[in-house]
Amino acid sequence: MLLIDCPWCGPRDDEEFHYGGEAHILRPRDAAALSDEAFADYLFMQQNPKGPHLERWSHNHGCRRWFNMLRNTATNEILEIYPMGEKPKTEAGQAAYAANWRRETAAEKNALSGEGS
Amino acid sequence: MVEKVGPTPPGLDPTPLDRVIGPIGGPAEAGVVLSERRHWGKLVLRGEPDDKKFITGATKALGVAPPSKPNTAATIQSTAIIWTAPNEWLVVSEPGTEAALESALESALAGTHHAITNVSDHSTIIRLSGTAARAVLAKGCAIDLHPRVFGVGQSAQTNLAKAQVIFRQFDEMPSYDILVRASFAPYLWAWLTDAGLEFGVRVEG
Repeated sequence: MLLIDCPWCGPRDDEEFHYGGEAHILRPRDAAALSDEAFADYLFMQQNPKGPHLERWSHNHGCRRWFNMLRNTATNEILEIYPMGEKPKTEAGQAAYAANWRRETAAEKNALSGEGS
Repeated sequence: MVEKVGPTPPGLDPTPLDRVIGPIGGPAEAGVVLSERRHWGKLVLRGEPDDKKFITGATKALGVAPPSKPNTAATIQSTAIIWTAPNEWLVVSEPGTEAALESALESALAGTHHAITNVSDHSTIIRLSGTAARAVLAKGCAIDLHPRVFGVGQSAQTNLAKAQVIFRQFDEMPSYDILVRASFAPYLWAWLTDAGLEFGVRVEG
């Protein structure tokens, strides 16, 4: 059993929550420009680490809000909880974010192209 | 064979619990007192808490500000405004008052970004009261119900014996109003009567 600290409701039993898969997967801006292999990276491929993993969760039997969580998949230790749309702030979270193979994919580069311009 | 329509008391509209509530009554010294709050009005109010016009309008129509603190409920007379999400509240009011409250809210909130939905028939309310009420509730949910943490004015959305509920404590007895979906209500009623067996259960009308 996990005790998950919902950013709104506080600590709750994990049966109230819904797991939403890997966090920080960006939809390509110009999907037509990507090869099938590169689009498959975005659509089908998920990271499956043994260790810290950035993932999305929803408190669907409570306030129904989504949030991000850094969880160690080997020990179930919850290392960080942070809002949707933000990047992790802890060192472990930033390391997990940077180490993800997705950062180097054509799909993510496509998604970020034109950002800030 | 299970009876489809139960013995609804004469002169009243049927409720989801009519066919499962047994005879009214029970030991006077019972630790658990159960009753159904028949046909109370329930409105879902949504709007942005940062929008001053929305908060002012809602406060005017309700008579009290919608609580901004998670897991709390504001009350005014018999009406309760329960926090259910950062931009959502559940307004529980006396039977028959929901239509007037809905139009009062609509006119007070005209021009603001909001939504009001009448969900009165979606759920029913089971009132759990008595000296053992806290012990019974604690059997079925993982919320810390100790009076230091969970007192009058607190509310929670959680699972009670696997059924999704919203409950709030409204007096020191303690007493709780448990909102549960109509289709889950007979199950939850059966669970509550069973969980309360060791303390003695009295059913009130």
